[in-house]
Amino acid sequence: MHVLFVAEPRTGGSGFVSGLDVRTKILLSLSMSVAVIFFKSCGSLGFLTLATLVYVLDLGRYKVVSLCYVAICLMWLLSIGFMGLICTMIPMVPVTDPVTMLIPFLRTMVMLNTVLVLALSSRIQTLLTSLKSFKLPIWLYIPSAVMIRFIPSFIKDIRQIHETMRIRGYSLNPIFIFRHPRLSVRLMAAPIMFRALRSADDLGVAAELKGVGYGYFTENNKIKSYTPLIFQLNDAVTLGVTLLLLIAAGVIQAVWGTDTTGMLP
Amino acid sequence: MKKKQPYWEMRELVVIGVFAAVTKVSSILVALVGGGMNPLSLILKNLLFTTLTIVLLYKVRKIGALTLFLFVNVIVSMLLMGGGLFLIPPMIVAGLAAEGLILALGGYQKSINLMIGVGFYDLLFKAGSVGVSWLYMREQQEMVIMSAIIVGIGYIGALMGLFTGALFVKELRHACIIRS
Repeated sequence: MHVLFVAEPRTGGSGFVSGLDVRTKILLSLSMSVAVIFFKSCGSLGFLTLATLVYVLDLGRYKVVSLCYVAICLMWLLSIGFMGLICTMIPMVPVTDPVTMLIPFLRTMVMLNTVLVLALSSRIQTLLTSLKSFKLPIWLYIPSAVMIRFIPSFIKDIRQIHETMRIRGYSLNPIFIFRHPRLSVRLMAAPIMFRALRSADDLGVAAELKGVGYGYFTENNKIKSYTPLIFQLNDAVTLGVTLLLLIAAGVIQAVWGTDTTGMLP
Repeated sequence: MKKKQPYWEMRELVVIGVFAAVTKVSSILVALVGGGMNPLSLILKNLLFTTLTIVLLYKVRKIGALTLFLFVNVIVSMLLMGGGLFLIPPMIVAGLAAEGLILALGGYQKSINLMIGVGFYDLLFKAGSVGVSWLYMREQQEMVIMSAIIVGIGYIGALMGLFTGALFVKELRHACIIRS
């Protein structure tokens, strides 16, 4: 079955970060996603952005990281431009300085750094193993595992659909979507839907025939992972450093924090 | 001794997983092809999501299918992307409320109930996501207003998706892919 033989993605080499347990990376990503909600000063978020930038740069994927940063900077500049436009059109909206405008983008940068590490340095099989180690109930584990497994295969299907459209003389781009929105939906949604339903049927039958799910997390379940997850000293150090960084960011927020700005109270 | 039949069949769980993947990938695809955040790509993205949700509910007609689909979506987003953490409460509350509405209207067997339920879920979740965007951008409350407008535009797509979903189901029934 095609879905089960999808090539593993390229991982991030053999650096310190690449050697970390995938659960550590997930935990780090989760803790940062919570932290960025509570921090609101430019100083504390800037500090976390720099710290996580060091974390992501250890992967050595400088091109991907710099492309993402360029995209975020472009969005920041665009938002400054549009804010200026809104201020000109509606004078009651107060003018906001670019540094304050940067705060939501700093939150995005922190998340981007941690997510890039997870995405670029984790194999699909390792993610599935870590998902299983969380002891999720079967009705949650099976769809999640199918979802993670199916995404790379589905991206290949999309490429095939795109090639088919090009052969028929259609090219999906923003101009085409603007000019023919109904045709775009039909060209895109219909094959995606048929493909998804066919794959779901095939996978469902295959899973039932293979007896997937029987004996899951029971005493008889002797199936062990090919690559067992091991929590090492590196992981403990990383989590400890993360905690210290969050405390430091909290101190920066408390000492140099700013009040909420904006036109609403 | 006869074993108790599980509530979810393996085939149904696989369908939910596949649809969760399809919605995630198609959202990214529309965002990339549509040239970023513009009204048309926003409408198209929401339209696709709602269409796929409607088709899924026709395929898996069981109480809890909508909530499980949303839960899987959010769990994977949370584990792989981190950012979806604060979308869980509004998403799950909206999903449960929509399931409750579908049950109150007579269950999953009536097609119109599915459309009302998904429409209600979209409305509740969009309102909740504006609240979450306030959490993220509270320093820039002008941007929260902008995001509320963006969410509103997206909801137009979601409403259109209810009808395109029903149309697709009709076609899929002709193709004998959906039999119920």
